[in-house]
Amino acid sequence: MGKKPLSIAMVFVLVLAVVAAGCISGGGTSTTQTSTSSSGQATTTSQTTTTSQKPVEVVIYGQWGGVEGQNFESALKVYEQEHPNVKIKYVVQSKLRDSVLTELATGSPSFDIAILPWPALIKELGQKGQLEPMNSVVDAYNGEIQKDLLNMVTVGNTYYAVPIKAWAKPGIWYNVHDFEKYNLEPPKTLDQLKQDCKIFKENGIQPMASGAADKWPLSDIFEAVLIRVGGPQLHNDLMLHKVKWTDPRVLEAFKILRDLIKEGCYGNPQTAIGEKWEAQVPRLANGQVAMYFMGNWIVLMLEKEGVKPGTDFGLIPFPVINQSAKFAIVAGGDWVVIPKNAPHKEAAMELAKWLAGPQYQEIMVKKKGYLAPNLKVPLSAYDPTDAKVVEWMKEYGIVPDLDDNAPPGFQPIIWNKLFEFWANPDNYKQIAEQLEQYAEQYYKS
Amino acid sequence: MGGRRWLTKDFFILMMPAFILLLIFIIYPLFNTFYLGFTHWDGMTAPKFAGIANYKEMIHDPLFWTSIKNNLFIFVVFLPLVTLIGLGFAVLLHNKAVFGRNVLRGLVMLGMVMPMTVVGIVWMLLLDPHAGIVNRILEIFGVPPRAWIQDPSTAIYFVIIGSLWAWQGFATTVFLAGLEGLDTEVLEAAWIDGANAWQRFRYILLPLLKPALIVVVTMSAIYILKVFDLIYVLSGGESVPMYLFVLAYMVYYEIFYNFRWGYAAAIATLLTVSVFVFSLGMLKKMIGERGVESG
Repeated sequence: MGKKPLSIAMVFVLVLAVVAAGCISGGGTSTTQTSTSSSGQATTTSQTTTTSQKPVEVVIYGQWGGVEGQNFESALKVYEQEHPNVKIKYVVQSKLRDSVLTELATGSPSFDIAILPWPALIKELGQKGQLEPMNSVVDAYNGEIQKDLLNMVTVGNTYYAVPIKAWAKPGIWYNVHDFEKYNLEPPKTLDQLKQDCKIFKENGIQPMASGAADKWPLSDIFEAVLIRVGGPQLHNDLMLHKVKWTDPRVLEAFKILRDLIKEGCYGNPQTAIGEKWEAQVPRLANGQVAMYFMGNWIVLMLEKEGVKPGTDFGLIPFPVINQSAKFAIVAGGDWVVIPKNAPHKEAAMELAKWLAGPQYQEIMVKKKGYLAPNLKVPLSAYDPTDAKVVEWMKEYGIVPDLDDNAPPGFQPIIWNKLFEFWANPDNYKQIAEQLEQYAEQYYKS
Repeated sequence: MGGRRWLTKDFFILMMPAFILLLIFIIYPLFNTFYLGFTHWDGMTAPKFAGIANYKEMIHDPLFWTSIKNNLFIFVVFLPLVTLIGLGFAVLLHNKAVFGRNVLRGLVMLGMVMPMTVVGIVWMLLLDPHAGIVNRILEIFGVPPRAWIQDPSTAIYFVIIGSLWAWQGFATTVFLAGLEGLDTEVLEAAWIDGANAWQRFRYILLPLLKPALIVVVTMSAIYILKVFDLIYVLSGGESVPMYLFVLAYMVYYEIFYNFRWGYAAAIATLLTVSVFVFSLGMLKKMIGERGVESG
């Protein structure tokens, strides 16, 4: 007695641990196997629940929080009322990319739908067989969905996502009272912009905010300048790496921004890099900052600060730099994806169809700060400021967001390098060279 | 003789739950990570064996070298500072003559009880270029406001300062425990023999505190080698600037932005090995010290 039970116990522990550990790794390393079994199981569950009338819980992952999140949840209630068999659970994921990728890697995600704003990532996931094709949803709306937004998530003839929200980065939002106080006109050209900046600076008002601390707003400003230097063609060519980051026209865009930064248009360079983007909204509303280049979602935030469009704040396109360059508006969206192994695929597909349709999108458009990718939503549903953005998009045309459509690993590099440029604007040539080196590496792979 | 008498049946039965958990959550992932380091894996399709390709790639990866450089810089500056500050606070708070020393002890521990993400957020608020109190105070002395944690030339120092603030509570606690356990007669004897304050510290106190010193250095080294959360939060969470890359962040970056789980596993393995080698060396030293003491 003594040694034998002990050995048996040890062997039992080892076997148990190895089996348990194997179970844990199974999902991660053999996706295909899990995929088959898991999806089969999911379909069965979905059918059973439909026949037994037990509600199916569809889980949505997204990153819309605050007012936008509340608006979304209230819109989802409409769907729930129309579909008593479905309960929707919206989960705000502050680290959406991490959550989605980690759950996909396990082979059995716990969400049915994810709302992602990264088209390059969507395409990559689709090509790796992680996403359910959405062709049936797209076909159901036959030409009603904005083509540019669909193209961003299409590989061959397969749509790996469907856009449910569009946004645009139409131009510079400005404080009307600041301009009135100093008898200034909103700038139409680069020289006027510099002149306005000088006057604001002399009067203790920060001419423009950048939101540099969050890094991503810098790529939006850079894209606006790039379009005004070389038009949408240069923008698209750089996005696809058909032109180099060291191209003279790209360097010209860097140089213009360098001058603006050094002249103090974005405030004191030593503090500007510490400014968070959301913190600039109240500063614009109360006149501490005169101008701010930002997306159309800022309207809701400004109105929350108690200021009104037209009377308190206005919108202008980024000033003209090169008269011969065509203008275009950077636009993107939020897309709905369904994982291959989603627990309730059928119910998720039905919900995705509704989200891509005019009924849901009109509800959201009426709540402001939301542009509809479904063309059936009437212009009359929009708030005047949003309607202006939609009209500009039609008038000038749109281009995809450069960094969102760059290879996923290259996107943070663009942000980082532009941030380094903001901190040391004189280093722009060196930064462009570094960006080019990374671009060669990422676009090759 | 009879040195392993504790290896009884009861010992194994009682240890079994802990052993199972250890095997599942520590030992298996450790070996699995080691294995994945030799594969090309995107986290979605099956891993493909790649030999030492990932390790070879590290040699040519500029981001890897930036991370190593930052890890080393933070390590070399942080380790002596946390030890000295911890020791200084411990000596001060051990002195019964210090007014309000119990309150001060509590304050010193504050950084230690806070989650690192909270520490990061507190520092971000303190150092905000427009609303942060640090810049407001500096302005009184004529220093213009600055974005200290975003500025490439100062950011790394604030990672060190933040880590020091958070971790010195641990160092102080360990040194305080060491001081409380000391035989005061030895120090009194040295004082009677005419040793001055420095001599008493250098030749009596410090050698007696060596076990505590080894614990502080080992644990602090482990903490700082795998520093991630503070850098992540201070950088705003979205994307850490390249000049602040450390190995632990690189593991995250390679997984979630480049889908190179195999390469990330190789970096994680390297990080684990370096932490392990350092800890092993220090533990050996500690066991050696104990051996000398008991011998």
